[in-house]
Amino acid sequence: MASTAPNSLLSTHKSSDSSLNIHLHPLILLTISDYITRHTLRRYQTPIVGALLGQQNGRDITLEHAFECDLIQNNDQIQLHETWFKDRLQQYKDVHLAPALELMGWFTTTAVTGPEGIHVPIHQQILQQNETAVLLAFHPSSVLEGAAVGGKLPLTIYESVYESGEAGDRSMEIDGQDSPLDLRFRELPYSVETGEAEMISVDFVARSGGNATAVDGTVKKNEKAQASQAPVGQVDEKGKATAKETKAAEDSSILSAEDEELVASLTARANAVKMLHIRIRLLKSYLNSLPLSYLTTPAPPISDADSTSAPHTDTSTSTPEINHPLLRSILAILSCLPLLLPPAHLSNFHQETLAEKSDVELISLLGSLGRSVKDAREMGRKFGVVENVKSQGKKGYINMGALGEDMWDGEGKDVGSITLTRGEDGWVYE
Amino acid sequence: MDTSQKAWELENAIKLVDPQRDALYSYDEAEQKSVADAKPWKKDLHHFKKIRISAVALLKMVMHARSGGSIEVMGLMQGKIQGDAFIVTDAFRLPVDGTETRVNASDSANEYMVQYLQSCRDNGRQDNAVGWYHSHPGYGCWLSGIDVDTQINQQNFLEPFVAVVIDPDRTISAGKVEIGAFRTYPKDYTPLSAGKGDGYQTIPLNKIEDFGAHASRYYSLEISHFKSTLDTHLLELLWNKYWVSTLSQSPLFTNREYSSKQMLDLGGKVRQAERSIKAGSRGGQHRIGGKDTQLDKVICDSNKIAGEEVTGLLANEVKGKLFNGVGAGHRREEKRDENTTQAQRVLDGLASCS
Repeated sequence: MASTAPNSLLSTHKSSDSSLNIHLHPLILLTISDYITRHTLRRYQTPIVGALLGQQNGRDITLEHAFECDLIQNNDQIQLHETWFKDRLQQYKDVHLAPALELMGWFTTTAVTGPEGIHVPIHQQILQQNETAVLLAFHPSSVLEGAAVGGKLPLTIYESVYESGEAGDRSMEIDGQDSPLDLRFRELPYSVETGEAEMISVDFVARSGGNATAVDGTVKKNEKAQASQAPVGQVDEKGKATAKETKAAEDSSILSAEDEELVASLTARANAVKMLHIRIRLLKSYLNSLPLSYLTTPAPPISDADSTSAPHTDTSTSTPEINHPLLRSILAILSCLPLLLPPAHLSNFHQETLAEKSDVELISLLGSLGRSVKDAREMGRKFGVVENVKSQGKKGYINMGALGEDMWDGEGKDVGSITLTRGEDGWVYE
Repeated sequence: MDTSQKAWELENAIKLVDPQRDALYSYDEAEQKSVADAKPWKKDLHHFKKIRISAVALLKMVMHARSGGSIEVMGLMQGKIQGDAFIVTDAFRLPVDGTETRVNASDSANEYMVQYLQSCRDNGRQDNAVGWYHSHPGYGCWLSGIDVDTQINQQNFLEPFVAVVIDPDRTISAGKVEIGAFRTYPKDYTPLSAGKGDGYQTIPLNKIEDFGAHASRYYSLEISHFKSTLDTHLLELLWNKYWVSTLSQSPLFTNREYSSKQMLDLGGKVRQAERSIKAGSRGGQHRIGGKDTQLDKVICDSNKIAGEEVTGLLANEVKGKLFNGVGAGHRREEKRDENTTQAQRVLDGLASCS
């Protein structure tokens, strides 16, 4: 079965009319990878198979959750354990009520060539529950080879179609009988979709998660290497610091917690902008490498090609094949750009952004007002203390136990009992 | 069997895992049993100090919390113990009906839990339940009175157990995951360092009493995260698709409701602080310690809100600088045409020379 010939199970028809749109959520990828890691480390022998849950709205299929499945061997065929599967599916459906998730397909690990004969029984089991079930084939071999394919995820999604038997079966045709329907898999394009919460947690884990080396917690020295998040609210790199140390670290750190958050989000955005820049540069270099357009440059004197001939039939240089669909999509992007901010809506848009900006500025003004109030009160308090000390020196003993209570300032010094009243902006003592 | 092994690609799958760097994913039943028998947490109430959460578990919990909207949701975590740390490898939801103020595990939830764990074991997954998680939408990561009681109960019967709280609203607003892990002290135990300044967080007015009353009955654990080598690789690949959504986010717009609630709350707190200052000006009581604790808290809150808003505004500014007016390339095109006509003239000149 491990043949180098084209996979007999793959459909030979083009998938241009399948029109199923698949939206994949990153949780599925992480579930699969978690399963593989655990499976290997715990030395299970069974194949890696699991189910996919999602929603289907007409032609749009979303794949949102996944869980691993129990398998049994049924005279040489590997199949899902029916009762186990039904129970598990029901458990998942019970907790995913809004939005309601259904069984959408299953996943397994295959070679890059695609599904093989032994995958068919399970697929047929799943088909009984959902007729448009898809198969997500994860390719460990692509992961091992590295991301040589330019950042493409190492998986392929197939849908199954029943096609009539191939031409080679013509000898079996009998009048009045249809040729047997065979199960074929057809590759589907997919996109990665994500909600806001998902994106934040994926981003968070990608940046801050340490590796899963097992370290004995009682050995204190080895913990330093991993980034950790200290108890609620504090962002602290030291991990094991006691409360005092963390306070000292916080006082000496130049950036406050809010500033650090700001820096982190700006860094993320900077990275995204760099990606955008790289992609645009790629497009530009591709366009530059194409032969000169016959519209804007003069035709070289040698060729007699009339201006209506396609550019790539120029004689002199061996030009690369021009990918017309690609050029068309580039042109489409470029012509969409003005639509980002159509001039008709320009003024409204400016108003809205201005309003939003003023809101934010207002809030930061509030923040700085608060800080100034705090500083003013501090100053007032210190002034009061200083005044008391001075007056004590002048007037001598002030009787204790008068109205009001003993006043203690922050350092624990008894400043005596004075009646101090607070006016609108300062201490007034008498 | 050999060919089918090949078809299932098990060999290749095995190579993807690094036994040393992914060690946390393994499960040694004998080791876990011996830890469970030894029960070191009985002697030292402060035994557990850390918790490590895997990427999958975190993602599932955050998505569950978010999907609940403003209703609290609840679920369980599976994993193991290692030294003084909890290792959480997976999480699953519980079918619990949460009202806005309380989440209780009912009988049907218990039944679900038992069934789920049993089917996990049937599949060969022996991870025990090591904790529970629930969400506090919009009001921070801490344990309410009911939560503390629930946790004390569970620590009596289900040890070792940990409580995790997630705030999905703050997560989205701040752009990073708001999560806290706690263990309670038994009823008659007071910790030596009362309220050791766990790190400040803003609590809305209507919850602040609940928070303060029980804050000394539990302590928080240090949280760290981990992911496998395969996870790392996949996440790198995902970033290739993600940067688009990072750039296109509009946090100010998505979080409008949450920020309005924050402002409302801040207003209420300011009024409260003002009232207490005016009242205290005659007796001077609020000056104990020399600090306006209430006013300080309010100011901290407003700083935090201002910080989040500024981050959101910067996102919009970046987008504006990048994309506004980008289609107005007519001028640039004209310039390019100029260049080509110039080149043309030069070429013509050369042609005429030769």
